[in-house]
Amino acid sequence: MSIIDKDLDRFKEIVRGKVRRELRKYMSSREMLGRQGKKTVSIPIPDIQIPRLRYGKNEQGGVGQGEGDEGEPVDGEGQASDKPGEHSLEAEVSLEELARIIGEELELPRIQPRGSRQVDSAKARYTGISLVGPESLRHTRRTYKQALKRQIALGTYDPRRPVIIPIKEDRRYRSWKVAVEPSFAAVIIYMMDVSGSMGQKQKDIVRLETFWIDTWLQHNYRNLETRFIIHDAKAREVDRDTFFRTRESGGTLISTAYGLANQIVQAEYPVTDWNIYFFHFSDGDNWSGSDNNKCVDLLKKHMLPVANMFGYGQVDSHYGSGRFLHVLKENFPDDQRLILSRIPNREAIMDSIREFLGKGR
Amino acid sequence: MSLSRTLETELDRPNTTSGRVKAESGGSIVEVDVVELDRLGARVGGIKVRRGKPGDVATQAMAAPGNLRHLGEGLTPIEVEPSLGGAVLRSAPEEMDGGEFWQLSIGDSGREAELGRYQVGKSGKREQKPFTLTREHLRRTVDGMEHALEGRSQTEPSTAGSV
Repeated sequence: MSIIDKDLDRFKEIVRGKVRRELRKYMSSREMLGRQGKKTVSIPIPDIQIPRLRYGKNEQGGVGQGEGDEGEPVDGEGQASDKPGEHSLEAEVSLEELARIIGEELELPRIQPRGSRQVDSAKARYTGISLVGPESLRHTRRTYKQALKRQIALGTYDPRRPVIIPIKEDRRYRSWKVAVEPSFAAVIIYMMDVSGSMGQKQKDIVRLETFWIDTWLQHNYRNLETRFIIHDAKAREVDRDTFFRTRESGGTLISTAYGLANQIVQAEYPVTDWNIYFFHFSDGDNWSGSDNNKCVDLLKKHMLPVANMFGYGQVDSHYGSGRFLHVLKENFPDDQRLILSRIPNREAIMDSIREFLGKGR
Repeated sequence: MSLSRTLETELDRPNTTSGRVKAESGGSIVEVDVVELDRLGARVGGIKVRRGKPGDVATQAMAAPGNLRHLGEGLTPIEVEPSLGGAVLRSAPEEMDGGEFWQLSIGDSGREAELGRYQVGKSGKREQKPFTLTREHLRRTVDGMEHALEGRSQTEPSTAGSV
């Protein structure tokens, strides 16, 4: 391992440690979502400074060489600089790495997939050697080894003067092999109450929750599909962007969302082939008791029997917490497939994720 | 006699001290859960006004804040759902923990309105709390709720009761 690789590894270790120590902060940080790429996420790490070389005369000879006694405060007077300030360092962490950190820190068990059918996924790996290929993939060691073999066979190799000169026929190139790996398929159906009582703060909490749930489940399933449903008194399926941006002023009928989610699953995701996850977020203010009963009915008869898990997150608003969480608690006191979590504020996201994903379902 | 005046007559009866007080006038009914009562004011658990005719819930929800401005904390329509025949209006609580707020629920296709005071506990649980109104404010509240159900945009400045 070269020195630069060692340094890079050490740097990564520091970043990992930093993320681990401040995971709760990152998990509740809305800022981080804006830094999300396709496979990586940029994490601002203000406390880490990269060492750098400074050119010039080494006249001062180190720190603490100026006038004054030890412990004497530095004169704080001065003016603001007209130069740009230093920005905090941002470290790119892959979502895979992030999922690993969450898994370790929250002590999340690996998910035990179910379903008889596995979907085959192809993955290319550079494991083979080829006689032709682009120069960028030339395998130097194998090329010289081949040249050495040839020279020994021809008797042109002199151990006292070990010069090896590869010719065109000696060249060897890295080549890939496509490995087919079986993997389980999963679908997550996110549902969110976008009625008038769900404000921006509540939506931000939901957005962060879904980000972490997505990250963890993607780490566990290679074939993961996500579907999004929003509802007030009516439910509709939307894309990810609309899911987080929409705000309506209507009332709340939770059963409409459960009905639509159930239709989607029945039409497109046979339970024998898919691991099915439902997550619903609301402030718990359902319009009526009769709709609560409808929801309980849909859960009992249709949704829980096909689901790996059904997560219900109740986000507190300025107006407190609604009744729906209690309705579910009362109706499903011991059902392991239904996981309930109350999320009073952003700081509670980490605990809520642990509640949702801590059972390894 | 207006609905609020009829209620006042009921409240002034010598045997009325607490419990549900009901008054009826011109096809409208008001019910007040009285916790304590005296000559100047009343401590009430909730106020419900009901009228015979249904109304346009969206118009009623728009009309209510102006009609109940005297409560001191502005009501805002939170959920308005004509298809479900109702609306919920709330005032903004000042703080997350222990904050109190008004809630006006319009229901039964605009036939009834119910006003209550709620408090959010530390566990996030919402509890209905009794609240105190002067007789004058109680009268204006009943008038305001009745006018909101009629879809009238704002209560006329009340002169009734001032001597």
